[in-house]
Amino acid sequence: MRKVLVALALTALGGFTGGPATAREGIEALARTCNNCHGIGGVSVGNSMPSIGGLPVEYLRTVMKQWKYDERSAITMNRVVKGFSDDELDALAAYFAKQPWKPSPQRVSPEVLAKGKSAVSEKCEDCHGITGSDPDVGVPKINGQWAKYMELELEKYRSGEFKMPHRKMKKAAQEAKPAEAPAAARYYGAQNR
Amino acid sequence: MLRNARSLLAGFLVAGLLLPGVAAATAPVAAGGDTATTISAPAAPPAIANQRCLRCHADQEEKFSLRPDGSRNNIYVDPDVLEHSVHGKVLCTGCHSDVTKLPHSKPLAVSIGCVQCHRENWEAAKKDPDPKKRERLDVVVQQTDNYLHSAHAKPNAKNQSRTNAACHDCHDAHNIGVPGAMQRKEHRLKNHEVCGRCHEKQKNDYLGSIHGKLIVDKKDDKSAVCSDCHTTHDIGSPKTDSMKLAITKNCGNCHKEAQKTYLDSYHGQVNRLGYANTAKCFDCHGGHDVKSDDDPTSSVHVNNRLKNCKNCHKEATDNFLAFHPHGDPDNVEKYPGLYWAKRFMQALILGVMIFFWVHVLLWLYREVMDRISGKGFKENLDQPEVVYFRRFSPVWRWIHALFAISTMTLVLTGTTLLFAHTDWAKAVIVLLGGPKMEGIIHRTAAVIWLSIFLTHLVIVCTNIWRSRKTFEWFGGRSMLPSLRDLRDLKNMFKWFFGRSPRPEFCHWTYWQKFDYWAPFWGATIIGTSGLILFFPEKTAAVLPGWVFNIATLVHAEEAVLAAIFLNTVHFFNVHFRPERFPMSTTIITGAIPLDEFKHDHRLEYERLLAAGELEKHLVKRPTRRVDLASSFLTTVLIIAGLTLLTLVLIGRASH
Amino acid sequence: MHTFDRRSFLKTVSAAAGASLLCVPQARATTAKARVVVVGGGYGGATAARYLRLLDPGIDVTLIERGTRYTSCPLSNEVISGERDIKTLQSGYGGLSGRGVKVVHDEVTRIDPASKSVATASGEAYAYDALILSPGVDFNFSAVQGLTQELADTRIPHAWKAGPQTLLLKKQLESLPDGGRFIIAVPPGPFRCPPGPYERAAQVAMYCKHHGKKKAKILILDSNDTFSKKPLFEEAWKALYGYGEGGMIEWVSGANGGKVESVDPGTMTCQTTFDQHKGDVVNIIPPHRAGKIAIDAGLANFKGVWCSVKPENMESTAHKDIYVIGDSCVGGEVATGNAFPKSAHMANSQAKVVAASLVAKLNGLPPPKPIYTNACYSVVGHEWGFSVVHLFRVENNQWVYIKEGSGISPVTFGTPKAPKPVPRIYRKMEAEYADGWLRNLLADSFA
Repeated sequence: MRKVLVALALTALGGFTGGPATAREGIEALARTCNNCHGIGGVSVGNSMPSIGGLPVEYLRTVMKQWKYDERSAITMNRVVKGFSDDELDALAAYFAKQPWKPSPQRVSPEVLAKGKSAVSEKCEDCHGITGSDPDVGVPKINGQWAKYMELELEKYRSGEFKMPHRKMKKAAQEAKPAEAPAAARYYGAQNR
Repeated sequence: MLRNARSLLAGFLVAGLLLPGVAAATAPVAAGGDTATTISAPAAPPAIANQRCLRCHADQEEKFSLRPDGSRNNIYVDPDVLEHSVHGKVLCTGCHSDVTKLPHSKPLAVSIGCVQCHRENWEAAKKDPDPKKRERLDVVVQQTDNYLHSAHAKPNAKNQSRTNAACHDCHDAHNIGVPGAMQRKEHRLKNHEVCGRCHEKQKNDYLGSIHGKLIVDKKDDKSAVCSDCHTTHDIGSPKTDSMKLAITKNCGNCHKEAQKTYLDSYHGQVNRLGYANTAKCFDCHGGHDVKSDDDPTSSVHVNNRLKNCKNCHKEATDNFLAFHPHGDPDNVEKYPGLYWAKRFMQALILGVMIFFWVHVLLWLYREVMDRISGKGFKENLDQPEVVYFRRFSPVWRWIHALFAISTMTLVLTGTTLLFAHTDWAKAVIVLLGGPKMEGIIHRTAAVIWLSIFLTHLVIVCTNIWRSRKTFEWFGGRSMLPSLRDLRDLKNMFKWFFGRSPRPEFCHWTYWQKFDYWAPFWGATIIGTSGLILFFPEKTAAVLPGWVFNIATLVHAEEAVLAAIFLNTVHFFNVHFRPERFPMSTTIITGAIPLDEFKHDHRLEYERLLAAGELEKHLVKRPTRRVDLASSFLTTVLIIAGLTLLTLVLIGRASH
Repeated sequence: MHTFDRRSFLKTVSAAAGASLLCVPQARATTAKARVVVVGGGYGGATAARYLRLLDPGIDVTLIERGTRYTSCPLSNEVISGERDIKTLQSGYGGLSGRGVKVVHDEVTRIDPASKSVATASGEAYAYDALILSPGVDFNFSAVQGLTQELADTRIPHAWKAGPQTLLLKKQLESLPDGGRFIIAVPPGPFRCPPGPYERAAQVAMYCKHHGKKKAKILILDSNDTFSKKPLFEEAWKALYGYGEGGMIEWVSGANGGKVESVDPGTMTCQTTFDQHKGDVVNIIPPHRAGKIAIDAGLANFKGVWCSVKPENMESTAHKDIYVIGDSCVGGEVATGNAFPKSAHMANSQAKVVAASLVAKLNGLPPPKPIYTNACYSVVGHEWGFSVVHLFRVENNQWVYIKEGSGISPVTFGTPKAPKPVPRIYRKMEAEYADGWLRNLLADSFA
């Protein structure tokens, strides 16, 4: 197992026979294994699976490493990332961070939008921005992110059953009223820019 | 373009938000709304409540953020401290005006508009009828003005895009206390750290100083901090004279006694006139590293002191060490010599002046009374005198003229220093061309004055020698005081009180003799002390330094005595007594109307008449031109003398 | 640029480290550099065709598929219980055509590895430089006495290839009487979608529970002694529907005589090793083997029913330039019991390996390092789902099962000595993830 990982690390670093082009293909081959759930270029088509292309590299790197070392709870991803070396995860984070962020704005009723906006400006805006497209440094964009995914993620923060290391996000999510969280998620999901 | 538009918008917004003033900012949205809507209504984003900023910036667990270069940036704001700060109720975005939305861009541009905001608040507060409300704003605006003219507001030499220091470099805007608040004390205790961020060497020097040790070790906020000496806002380069003077002045805010004695010294007098070319506090005591004089490393320790003297007095000898730079003639314990010298001089002045002023007043009283009763000497204007008595030969007239002019020059230039605290002195020193030029004029006049005095001695000696066979040492024509003068004086007083007729005098009256002999005394005192001060290094080669203290004192006191005496008593005796009023031009023309001569010197007149020598001395009445010219000259001298008298009296009274 | 040789091409690629393979071939897109024929338009074939075109638009790709509309097997059990509209599982081939794949709706009748061509029922012949075979599975009806293809289409559907039989089984479930018995017969492994039968049992139970058939029984007659995600299923069954004695769901293992030997369609009775089980609905999943065309072409060289392939690029070990992917192939650590599961995600993953490998080969580049992944979600009730993931790498031309990157959803929390149940929210999350996974998987294969 160790040997495998070392060999893979070498590949990822371009130490394999082909040089840079191979290293490039090495990353792409790795990244393609993510496409099944997160779409080509990290643009998901499906509501409970998040788009990941164009998110901040530090964010992607941090969450994957945290899952890998059981510092953050996940249900599926924590198992998946454990099969990858740290270098591979870094390379994947860098690869997806380089992709353009493509929002997938979803329809939502004006009532939910209004409710979501008030929740967002109360709880989320300070870090994520009012539309989610202009977030704080290192914070993922969430304009047109899939609302279902965000709703579920908020539930993770709120439930107390998950190890969620981001203190501020946890605090904000837990302070939200039960109806506010999904409304905020749908509000952000509806944002294009 | 976009950026410009944005900042313009932000500017409008901020202006709108801040106009209502500090107090109104407690209700930011409402308060800002009225004003803001009229200016930039549709685009104005809602104000960001401080609570939102503090969510991140008051986070105990994340006090730092990373800059793009990886360095740590302290973003923590203690909400408690902020609340008690003078800005506690101001919107964060009021100052951090480029934050128009959250999350804000990072790193945040430094764009705190302290000056503008305070000015706007002030302008608004000016409309308030209660001036107390803007008391502090007045101070702040004054200080911002000072800052704008200070060295800190100048562009940085290495980076022209920024100033040497901005408000926030020194002020922790989140922790500014109102007067009397704890923050002020805290701020004082760390003043050196704040300034030391840029002025590191100075900070280190300061930490070794007596001021620094009190601050750091004793936490004594009464000890001097940077801004106490350098001023808080009006900070200039300490290389400029104005700053040197300001710093010297600031020492006196705490060291009142030391400053008072310093200002009475020659060093201090020049300094007080607004010139920095004599020794100032820090020239001897050191600036940042000022230490107690019992500290062997102190520059004023007795072992190191001479070095300070030598900075200016290149040939200073060990005798300089006996000089008391802070000598206090009112402190009998520390400076008994100086104390008694002053007491003596004061007694002398008082004695002389009281005696002669009483003499003057009584004389005036008598003549006035005589005139009222139709008696006394009166010039017959219908028949002007045609015969004059020649009283002074040209050489004496010249000597008197030069003596008078040089004395006046000496008085003017000397009292300009002596009364450096007066406004007139500060104006005169400018006219004179500064203390250096003043010194040159004073010394030149002194040389002339002494030369005249010596010349006169030679002439007198020659004259006496020539007539040695016939000269009566205590005769009517002799200047030597005699018992007769005492008798005359007694009879004069009797006359003053109407108890006997006016005494009759010989060639010289007793008051004329006094006028003559006074300069003898004066020349000794004032001339000797003057020479000591003229040549300090030469003097100190033989005499101890404290003679400078004595010399300075007696030189000044004697000068004051002379100035007051000459311009009051002498003027009265010669010009202002009713018989002579408004003036006598005899010392210019050398001639006195015969009647007048007869009136004042009847004994001499009679003696000459008896001896048949009178004819020899009679001259024609001076021509009209000579009369006018001499009147004019006399007038000028009198006016000059009275002006000097006024200046001296102003100086004396306000000291 | 258009006519440079292989060496300069390599140099260009190496020099332009920033240029991805995706954009390199555009310079040479004027003439087809190779013809690749893909047989079978399921997850495997569609993905292969799609990624070939994505990675190198210069390759001529022909996809030959019988049907015009594909129905996803994953999550098709939800169709049976009425939880899902079958349309959400379907995809046409317009997406692939749009990417330049020549989609031919035809049936391949013969493969000639020697002349490198395939022939179709309509009489067409397609020459290939490389052939990707993704025919899915073939059902061996004869392994269960009395079972026929015709029966499966009418009365005893296996519904193991999503489509009409799925809807048929749904109809049968709807008419199941309260207290009726729904038999699911599980074939011996390996079979497509290892957790599928057990998920189906749960979906059927859910339907019964919520549709007035609380007394219905679901009997799983299993040819095997254990099954995929067993503890997860048992936990869910117990919690939701009752499992075992007196419960709604009953599982009979192979060792307990669960294997169905024969069926009597007249009485709807299944004969197992020891017993007879009569069912109101009988859902017999016949044993599987590689797709018929693969066996006919002589590719089924693993136990005569599965196709053995090379770990580095899925090339058949029987014939050069033929790549077998999806449910027909056999791969993974077979010896340790960690073979490739026969799943849609796996087929998709294999297809990407083949596509990348072929593109590299056709462009004269070194072979890329293959990596195989799998994810499979099972939904067993409202807000109750779980998953298994697999990761395989290739080392020294052998598949290596990466244990660290594989495994099922947590069964318990706490310590082994003091286990605690996994919070329900974990199951709820995965039920939601299942839907997102399916949408993306469909898109990644057909869009």
